[in-house]
Amino acid sequence: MRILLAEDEADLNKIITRKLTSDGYCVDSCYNGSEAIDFLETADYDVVILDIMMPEVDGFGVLHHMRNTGNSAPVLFLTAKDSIADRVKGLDSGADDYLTKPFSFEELAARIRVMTRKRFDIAANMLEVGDLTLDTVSHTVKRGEKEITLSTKEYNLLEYLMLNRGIVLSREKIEDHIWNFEYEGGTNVVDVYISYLRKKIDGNCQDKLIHTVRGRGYMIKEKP
Amino acid sequence: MKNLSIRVKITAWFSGIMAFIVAVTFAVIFWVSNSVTQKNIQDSLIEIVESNVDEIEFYEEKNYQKELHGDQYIEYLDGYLEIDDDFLDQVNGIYSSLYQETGKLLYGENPSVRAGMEIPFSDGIVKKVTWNRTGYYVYDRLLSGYGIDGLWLRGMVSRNQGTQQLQWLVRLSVIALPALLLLAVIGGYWIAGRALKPIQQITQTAARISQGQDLDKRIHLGSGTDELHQLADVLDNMINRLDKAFKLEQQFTSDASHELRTPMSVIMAQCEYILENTRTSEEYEATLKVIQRQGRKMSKLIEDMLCIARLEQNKDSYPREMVDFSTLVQDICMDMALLKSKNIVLGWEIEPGIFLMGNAMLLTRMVTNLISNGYRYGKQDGRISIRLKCDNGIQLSVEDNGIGIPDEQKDRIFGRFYQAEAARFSEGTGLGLAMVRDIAKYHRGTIEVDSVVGKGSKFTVKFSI
Repeated sequence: MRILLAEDEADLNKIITRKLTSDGYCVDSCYNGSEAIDFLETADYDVVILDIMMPEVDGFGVLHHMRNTGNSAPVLFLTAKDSIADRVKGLDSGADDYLTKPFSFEELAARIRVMTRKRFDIAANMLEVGDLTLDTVSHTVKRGEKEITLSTKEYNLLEYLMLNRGIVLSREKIEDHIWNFEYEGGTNVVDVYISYLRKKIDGNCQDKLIHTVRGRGYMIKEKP
Repeated sequence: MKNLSIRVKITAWFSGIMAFIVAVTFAVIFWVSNSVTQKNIQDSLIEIVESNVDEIEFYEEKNYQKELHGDQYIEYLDGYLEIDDDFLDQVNGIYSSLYQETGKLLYGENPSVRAGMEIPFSDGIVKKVTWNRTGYYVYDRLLSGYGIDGLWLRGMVSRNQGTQQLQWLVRLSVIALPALLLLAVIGGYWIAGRALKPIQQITQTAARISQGQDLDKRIHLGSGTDELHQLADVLDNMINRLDKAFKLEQQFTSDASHELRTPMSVIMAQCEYILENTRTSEEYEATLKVIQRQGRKMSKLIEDMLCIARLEQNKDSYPREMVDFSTLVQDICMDMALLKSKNIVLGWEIEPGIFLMGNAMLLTRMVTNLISNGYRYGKQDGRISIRLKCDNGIQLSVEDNGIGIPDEQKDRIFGRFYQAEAARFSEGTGLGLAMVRDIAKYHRGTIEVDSVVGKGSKFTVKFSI
């Protein structure tokens, strides 16, 4: 799950990035609106968190640019402006959610989960494919009754596959969503992590869930 | 009376006054014309009787010639009383008649005769008598002369004689005056209503404002120059000013809360993160440093906001005294020159012995703010020069060779919480220049800025002595 954070207060920016990263999200952060627009033009984000009062281009400007360029990624305004008028303006301008400062990380995390659920059109925080289940709140993965321990990246990759179950995902797309710009590596990182996942998920089972679609990418689905 | 509307009160008041004036006028007119009429009646009564006195003579013989011409002869004692044909028996309701001393009627007639009324004679006096609810004037003359001594000539006239016009006037007044009064009352009520309508409009607007707390409403009476239009204009202007003041206040509160929330959210987020798991001591230290930095920011912000609020509301917080401004500026310059941030050189040129009536703490703050601004927006290895001189007023200028201010921002830099974008990462609160302006104003001074983008800015504070 890849998140873009635009927040001009440096300390706040750093701590949110650190927290979201430790929660297993892949975060790109920037300090003003025009940087945010640059990021948005080069990568595909699952959630965008915007401060409203930012230098150069404010949050509304970034959102406007996004919607004008057909980017429908869910946007959460994170702002100290708390008047009803500001909230209404924020939501009316096309934001999906609005969180006022100071906020708690728990609430921010919950709202991010809500936005991803909406984006992938699922109703609960529990993802299921066959007898494989993934709890997006506690970050636990089970195959049948057996709990499987995954690294953060493995978890992210599995979550992304499960959110798009039955859909073939190219290596580039997977890389885009799981690794941020700080990562500098070849495309075979996806293959490496897929092989790790396969070992842990499908290793001891007869029904393989993770499938390779030759020449196109990977997908997760139950056997028909 | 208290519960009546002004409209009703005004109408009632002028209707009452008008009714009173009409009644008094009517009474006076009636009384005057009545007495004039009565006087006229009496005068013509006397005149006729007096003229008739000469028309009665006594003769022993009739003069047939005269009798033919219309003179009357009445046998009296041993001769005749000759009533000349000029004798006026009855003119304009005035009856004349001739009596013997005993009261026996010799000639003529009058209402008392017809009524069989006996009125005693009295020579040359107009008497009032009332008979059958009708008043009469009676005027008697005792005749004297050959053969007519002891005869009485009596004139009598009804007091209503010739008063028909007056009665007609009364009748007309009884109908017309109340009608006019009614018309005046209705018209007055209408005009009062029209005149007071703007007040209703004012009341409605005021009520809407107080109900909805919505200062966007205006009275808008339209064009007009009367007192109520003036009042409405004045009120509209007042609401405008209030509206602006409230909006500024709201803006300030909103900005202040924004500025306070940001460091607060950093502190909260840091705490939440660090307490979530066991962390290394380096992490704890880093977190505490961030919290300290943000705490300082908040504390500075609160201090600045309090200062601005006090400057605005409570003038007693900052007592004035004679301040040695030259020494004050010099001390600050010497202190701040030690900062050497960005390797900026601080230079000053201060005329000694300049005194100013003011608050030393505020003035220190003002000068400090201006110089720190110079540091903040100054270039690496730049310079800041401070000049203080006194000719035609005290003049303090702080000039830097930093980034400068674009023209369109020159008015806004003195606004509260305005910060040039480049400064948003810095330690400033956005209140520095607003405070400088407020402090200058507190000392009846003004502040100006000259600036060229890329070349630097010069702030000049002027105090009149």
